[in-house]
Order: sequence, then C-alpha cells, then structure tokens
Amino acid sequence: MNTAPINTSAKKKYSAKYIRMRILLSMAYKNLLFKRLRTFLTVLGVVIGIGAIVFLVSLGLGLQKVVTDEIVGSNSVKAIDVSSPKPKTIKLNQDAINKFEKYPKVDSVAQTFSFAGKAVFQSSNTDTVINGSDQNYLDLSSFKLVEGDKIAIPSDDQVIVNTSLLKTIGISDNAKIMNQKIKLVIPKEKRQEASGNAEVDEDFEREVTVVGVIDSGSGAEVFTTDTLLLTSGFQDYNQVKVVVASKEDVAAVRKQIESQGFLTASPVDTLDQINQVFTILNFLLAGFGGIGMVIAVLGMFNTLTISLLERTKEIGLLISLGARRKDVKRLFIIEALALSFMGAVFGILTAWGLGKAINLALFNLAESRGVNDTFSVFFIPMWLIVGILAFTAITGLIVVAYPARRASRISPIDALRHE
Amino acid sequence: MAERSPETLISVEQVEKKFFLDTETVDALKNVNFTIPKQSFSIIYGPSGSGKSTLLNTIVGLEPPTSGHVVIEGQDLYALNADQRANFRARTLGMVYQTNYWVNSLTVLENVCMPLFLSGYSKKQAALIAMESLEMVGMTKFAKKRPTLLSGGQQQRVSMARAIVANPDLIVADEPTGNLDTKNGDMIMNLLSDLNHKLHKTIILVTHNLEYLSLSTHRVQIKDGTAAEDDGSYGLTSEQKKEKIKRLQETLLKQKNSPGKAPTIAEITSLLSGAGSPAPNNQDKTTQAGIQVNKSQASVDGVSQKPKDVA
Ligand SMILES: Nc1ncnc2c1ncn2[C@@H]1O[C@H](COP(=O)(O)OP(=O)(O)OP(=O)(O)O)[C@@H](O)[C@H]1O
Ligand SMILES: [Mg+2]
Repeated sequence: MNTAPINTSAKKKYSAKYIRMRILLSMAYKNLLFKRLRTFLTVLGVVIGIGAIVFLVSLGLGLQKVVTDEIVGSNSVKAIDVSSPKPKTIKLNQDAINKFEKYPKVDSVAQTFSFAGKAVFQSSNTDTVINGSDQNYLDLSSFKLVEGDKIAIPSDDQVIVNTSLLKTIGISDNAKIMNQKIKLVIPKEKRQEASGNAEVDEDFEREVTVVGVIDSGSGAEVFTTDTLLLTSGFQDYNQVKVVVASKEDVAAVRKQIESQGFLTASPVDTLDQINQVFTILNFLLAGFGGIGMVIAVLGMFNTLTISLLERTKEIGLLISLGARRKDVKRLFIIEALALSFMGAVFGILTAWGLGKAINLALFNLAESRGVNDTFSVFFIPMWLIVGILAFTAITGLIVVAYPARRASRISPIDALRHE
Repeated sequence: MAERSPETLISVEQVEKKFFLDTETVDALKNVNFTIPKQSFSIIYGPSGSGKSTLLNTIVGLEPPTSGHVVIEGQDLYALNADQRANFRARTLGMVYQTNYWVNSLTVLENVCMPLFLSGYSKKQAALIAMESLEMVGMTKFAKKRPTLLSGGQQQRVSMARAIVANPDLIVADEPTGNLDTKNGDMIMNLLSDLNHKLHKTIILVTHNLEYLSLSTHRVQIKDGTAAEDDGSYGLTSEQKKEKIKRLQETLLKQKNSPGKAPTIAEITSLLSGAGSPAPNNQDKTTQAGIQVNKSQASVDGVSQKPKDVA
C-alpha cells in the first residue's frame, strides 16, 4: 500500500522537493492538448519559420555540394598547373620536371606543349592550338569524349581533335572526321623559339589520323603526343601539371614550385572562391528564412503570454497547493520547449519533404532532357539538424524567460481572485 | 493576547489585515488574537463578510497580514519566504477553498493527485492514493471527468479529496459543505471528524451551519474583523463531549441511511471506540493504517459507494 509521508522534522517542512520532470512534461502536454487550436497555430508558425530556414539553407548547401563535388570528384583537384612567367629564362623543361617529381607528396607530373598552328583538312585550313600532351595530362584534363573509344593517343601519328575545330572547318557530323587524315603545321618561328635553335628554317608539318573527338572549350584544339613534338626538337613545355597525393598537399607543394620562380594555379583556388560565395549565399538564405522565424518567435511569445494570463488562476492554485517558483517556471519552460521542439522537428521534416519533391521534379525534367546523372540540389547535413534544434531550443528559452518569470512571481491569492 | 503552549499548533498574534482600495480602506481583520490547539477540531464562525476567509488565507500563508504574526509550531510563517511557505503548504496543509479551483486541462483524478505531485510522487503512486481519497468522498466514478463539468457539490467533494490526499497534519476548510445537501454535507463532516479523532489531524473549519458546532473542540467567533475565542467545551467534561459527538453521529447516520440499513449501535460504538482517547503527542501515525481505517469507516457509514446512493 502507498503511504503519504508524515513530517516529523520541522526543517523538512520548509525545504524543497520539486515536481517530477515526467509529471511536468505530462502537464505541459495536457495543457497544450487542451488548447489544441492555439498550440497547432503556434507550432505551425514555428514550422513555417524553421521550414523556410532549413529549406533555403539546404538549397544553398545542396547547390554548393553539386558544384564542389564536381571539382573535388575529378582528379584535377589534386593537380597543380605550373607555367613559366618568363619562358626564355625560367625553362619548364625535362630538368624542371625531374625536380618536381622528387618533391615529397608528389604523385606524378603531367606535361603538355601547346603552340598556335594550323590544321589542314582536305581543302579547308584553320588556325588551331596544337597540344602535345602525355597520357597523364589527358587523363587529368577531364575532357568529354564525343567520338572514339577513349581519350588516348596510342601512336605519334594519331590525334584527337575537339568539336570547335570541326565546326571551324565545317564538319557538323563528328563521326565523319574519324580515321580521316589531317595535316598539322607549326610555323618555323615557334619552332626556333621552342627548340632554342635559330637555324631551323622549315615549318613543322605532319600528317596524322584522327582517332577521337572531344569537347574542350570554344577554341579549336588538336591533341597529339608530347613525344612527337619532343622528337621534333621542341624542348620547353608550356604547361605542366604536378599531381599530389591528396587535396591537402596542394598548398605545400605549390609553395615549393613557386620558390623556383614558376607560376602555379589550382582548382583549389576556385574551390575556395566557390565556397566563399556559397557561404555568403547561405547566410543570405538563412537571413530570409530568419524573417519567417522572427514572426514565429513573436507568435510563440504571444501564445505563452496569453497562456500566462489565461492560467493566472491555475498558477495561483498550484502555488497555494504548495508549488514553488521553480515548479511554475519549469512548467512554462517545458511548454515553450515543447512548442519549439515540435516546430523544429516538423519544420525540418517539411523542408526535407519539400526538397525531396522539388529534387524529384528537377530530376525528371533533367532525365527527359537526356541527363542521367543523379543529383540532389538539397542537402541537409547532420550539423544543420542539430544546429536548428539547438537554435529553436535557445529561442524557446529566450521567449519563455519573461512569461515564466512573471508566472513564478504571481501572488497566489491575487491570482485566485483573478477573473 | 493568546498564549503559546506546547499544545498550540497555530498562534495568531495581533493580526491586522487592511485592504487598500481606490476610495477606501477595508479593515478585514482588526487585532485578531487566538490559538489553534494541536489536534483540535476548530470551527471559525461568524456572519458573512466578517473576515473568515481572509483569516484562513492568512493562517495558511497566502495572505500576508498588514501587521501581526502567524506562528506555526514556533515558526513565524511570514518570516519565511514565499517558496518556504509553499513548501509548508505542500507538506503540512490540506485546504478546501470557498470557491473551487482546478487545473482545467487535467482530470478530477489528476487534480486530486496534484498535492502529491508537488511532494515529488510519481504518477502511479499518486494515482493510487488519490483514488482512495476520492473513494472517501464517494467520487471515484468521476475520476476521469474534467472537474469543471461537475456540479458545485461534486466539486466540493473532490476538493475535499484533494485536501486530504497528501495526509496533511492540518486541514483547513472554508465552508466545504456550502454547496452540499445534508447527506453529503454530513458525510464530509464525518470525514473531517474521523480525521480528527482517528488520525489526530488538526482541523480548522469555517462554517455557517451552526449544527456542526457541536463537533468542534474549539471555536473562534469572528465579528466584523475581530475574533473571540471560546476554547472549548461549553462547560462540558470530556466524557460529556464524547457522548455529544456520539449522539450527533448517530443522528447523522439515521438521517442518511434507509431504515433497513441503519447500522447497529454496536457498530457505531466500535466505530467510535478510537475517538475518545486523543493522543496529543503521538506524532507517529502511519498513514497506511489511517487511510484504511478511514476507508472502511466511509463504507460502514454507507455514504460513499453503497448502492442505495442511487435510490
Ligand atoms: N482582496 C480584497 N480586496 C478588498 N476587500 C476584500 C478583499 N478580500 C476581502 N475583502 C473584504 O474583507 C472583508 C472580509 O471578507 P471575507 O471574504 O474574509 O469574509 P467572509 O467572512 O469569508 O465572508 P463569507 O462568509 O461571505 O465568505 C469583506 O468586507 C470583504 O469585502
Ligand atoms: Mg468567506
């Protein structure tokens, strides 16, 4: 059987034993349920505010992820582009490459020549950039293959051309150029410069077979092997890519290369810039969502204050039955936290659902246009969920501070007389 | 001036209460002095507006007096802060207010549980005890209802259940029978009388019904804010007093019970056998026994759950 305690010591009578948390929780729950409509509207306000923030921020984060994944996902993020500011004195030749290869954390070095030249196909002839690249360089360049088996040039008399070149020589069907012969021409001045031999008095000319077509920007380009140009006397590379073990090694290796007088560039620069832009964007988006949140917070404050006025009598009763200031405060705080927690949870769920729906629609649209890559323009990371929950909890506490304080200071007898 | 003695539970000393209104000042209590003995059944009576409710509120620590002191077991109540007074109410006091107050979002049972919740009881523990308490006032049927949907009289009975649920040493009731018919009113009075006799609770009762005065061991008359104490016995010996109580209870029982079901005198005597020997210093009462005695008492009286209630 249960027994109520009997007070034996006078001291005990005036010391505190508070209402159990579970009972406070259930009292708060019942009161919120009792005022269903008002609770619903208040929570709805928070749901809209939180939903707006989460929706907008997750859109920003999703877009950022799509863009940065594209960069980070490709190998190019680990490659440092090296060029020479003064090709005549600071030479980007085989010696330099050998040096780069010995730096710690360097995986490999890819190189390419590029010269302005001409491509001649049947009767048409066009200005083009002629690249002599090793396979490593081709792999790192993330070109898109349009015709052919793969982006590779198996022998010195084969080339890959790009679609822009085909356009300038008037070929609209990319497949037509496959296995056709074209002639590459590099004027003798360039040859003298790059070989360091002023005696050369002939243009470089070579007939090659097209084995692939790629999409690589708007200028006409031809890719041949670096060995073809090396054996023809060219010495100084125009561009070298130094590949490091991981993205984190980029900075250190760049410093080393730059100390030799070379110029470097890296997609990490772009990545940093992109991230900066998105950080600003995300704050702006969160700010827009925040306007909704401000309204929600005002709604919550309103609800809690009205609740305080309505329940003055009840609070008076609780105090006259022996509730302490802390009990009353806690009751209000728990109700506020319950309101904001429900708002946060449903807000996050709403934003998530909306994001999913929009993403699905976008995906279907993309699929109907022939894009088969899966993508997601909404991204809700764990830290965002935790952050939002913490944010709403803190907001709830701030909002309830005043009503809770007032409630706990109510004079019980005045409250019981309150109409 | 009232004197404090070891037998004194509450000593009201030179208490004045003024209400300052916009246009006038109401002297609700004017230099009130009296004591409430431990384990007494004290009745405060007087005309409407004489200051009875104000006095009760002052005694339980809800209404600070304009001047004077309320001393409970040597402790000046208003020397304590509001939270300490709340603790005193949570642990020592059960109160029935003249008007019924409820937590509207909670059921009858949960409302009755509230004093236990305030003492840190779990829901389950509290519900069991509260159910017994409701049984004593014959209100178990209404446990799941919302209190505001009950009649005034039913609310008063629930209010009584709430006042006694935490087994307080002091029970203060402001016209607890105001809205009740004689039958239910007598039931409440019997309950209070039992709590006083069997569990040695101190009772302070405000009533208009002078018929109940004979139940009291101690009376305070209030007139226009001043109190006159009448300590006791109308000149009766304690034996005579016991007799008087017995007779009153018998008449009450006869009023309530249909003739066929009237309890025998033997039953009443056995019922009242514990009543005559108050043990003033026995603080070691165990509730368990108490509540059970009480419960059986209530059912012998036939007021709580006998089927004839319906008839
Ligand atoms: N909060 C208050 N403000 C102003 N005057 C008050 C207040 N409370 C009580 N009074 C006044 O004090 C006096 C005593 O009131 P109280 O309620 O104590 O009377 P009572 O004896 O309980 O009457 P009743 O038997 O009708 O309940 C009355 O004149 C009343 O108007
Ligand atoms: Mg009154």
